[in-house]
Amino acid sequence: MKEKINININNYEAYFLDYHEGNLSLDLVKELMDFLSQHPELKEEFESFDPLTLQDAEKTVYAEKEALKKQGINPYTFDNYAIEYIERTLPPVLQNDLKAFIIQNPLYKKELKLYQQTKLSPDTSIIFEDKHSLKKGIGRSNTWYYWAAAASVALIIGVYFVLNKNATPDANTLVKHNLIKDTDAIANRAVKTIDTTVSAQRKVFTPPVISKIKNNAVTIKTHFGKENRNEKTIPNIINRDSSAMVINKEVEDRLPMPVKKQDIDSSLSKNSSSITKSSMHDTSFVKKDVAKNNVIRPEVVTAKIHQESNTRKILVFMAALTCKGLHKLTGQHIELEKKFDSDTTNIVAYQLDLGNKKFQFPVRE
Amino acid sequence: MDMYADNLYRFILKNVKDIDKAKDIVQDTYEKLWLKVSDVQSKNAKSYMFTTAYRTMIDRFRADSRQERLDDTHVYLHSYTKSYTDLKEILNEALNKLPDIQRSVIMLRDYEGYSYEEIGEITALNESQVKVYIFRARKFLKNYIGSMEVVI
Repeated sequence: MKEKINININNYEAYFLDYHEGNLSLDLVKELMDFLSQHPELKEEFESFDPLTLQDAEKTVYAEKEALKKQGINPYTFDNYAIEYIERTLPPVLQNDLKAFIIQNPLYKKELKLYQQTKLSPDTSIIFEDKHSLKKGIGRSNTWYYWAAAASVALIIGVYFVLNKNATPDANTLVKHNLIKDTDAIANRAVKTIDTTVSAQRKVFTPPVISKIKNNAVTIKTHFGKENRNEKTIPNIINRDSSAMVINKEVEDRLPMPVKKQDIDSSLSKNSSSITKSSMHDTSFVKKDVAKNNVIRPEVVTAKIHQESNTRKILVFMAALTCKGLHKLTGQHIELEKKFDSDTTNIVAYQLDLGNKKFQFPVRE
Repeated sequence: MDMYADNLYRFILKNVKDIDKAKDIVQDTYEKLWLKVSDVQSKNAKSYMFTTAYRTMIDRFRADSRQERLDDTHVYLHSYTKSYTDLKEILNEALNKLPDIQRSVIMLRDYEGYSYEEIGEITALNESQVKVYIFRARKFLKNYIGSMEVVI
């Protein structure tokens, strides 16, 4: 029975392909040829269905096929064997094969030698010196922790002193600010200056005080620490009728608590030597109608010292915080302590306590 | 413990190339060891320490942004400008040019004599990876030494 003809313009490609692949029966071949004769325009397409051959693929070869064959040591497998040999993982049988290969191929002797030279040996001169620190409970011996702590605190305290250098009242300046002049009442007199110059490197500076008023003379006492006392008596400075004491106007304008001529008058009447003490602490001396030029204000020094204290307090507080932070961070004992003078109870130094080390920072006045 | 400290220090120092950092890592390692001392068997102590030190070192590398990728994709060019006088120096130079992971595994192998499996535990690699890294490291070192010999 004849096969039903199926080739048409819609499916001819499949028959073209089957023809070229040799899958068509004789009947279908005949039928296909008839179809082509009826459609000559498809002849070119029919001929383009030549068998597809990948001839280039045949030219691509794997050159190291030998290496794939498990047939022992060869130039392709030499590296693996050599490395296994120096790694001491090469079985004895293969070690013999390797030696035999090298005898047959002397060039590989050098290669094997190079591989042997890649074997690393530890440098025993490198040792960990501080082994004690590795023992349980010893902890780190890194001294840099201590130095870091000391440096941090020293930096803060150092900043204080650097900043404070300008703020610290210079003794000479202070004294100059305490010029005592005759007032208008003794206008024809030359200005008298109390020269209470003392070394600026002394300890605590106490404001000049009027220690004695007697017979129109005032005795001014300047006090730098316990050892340095300076007393000067200025004669003829007091006029019982209209006398007054004035100080440098620049200073005067900033003074909070004046000592006024009334105080002096009062002292004169009392014949007392404690005028300054009372004048500095008793606000009753602040009278309402005080002539501008009739004041002396030694408290300026006290005020300045108070300013210094505040700056110091802030910086010491920062230093203490730094210590606490470092203590938290490192677990080491780090503390900032104050050292007081036993007599004056003034702070004489700050001490950085690191447990087994202590650093002192003396307070410079 | 003292003996391990030297080994550990050498291993870390060769990798981090910084004495202070190496000491710090060794101390960190011992601190961790003492914290876990009850859990670590004495026979595993050395391995535990190398594992801890290695991982601490890797963490530091990362923290310092010094960590190069832990693979061997780097192509190191040999420098021929420096003159070498002995093999150890050349080898040391070559070692420094290895990718971090290759340097670590080959040092654990040669310095400490660890097996591939142990190195794998320390470096969190499998045994095959360790073998591959050691193979590549050896090949690199061999080629480096060979090229230097030509120069010398």
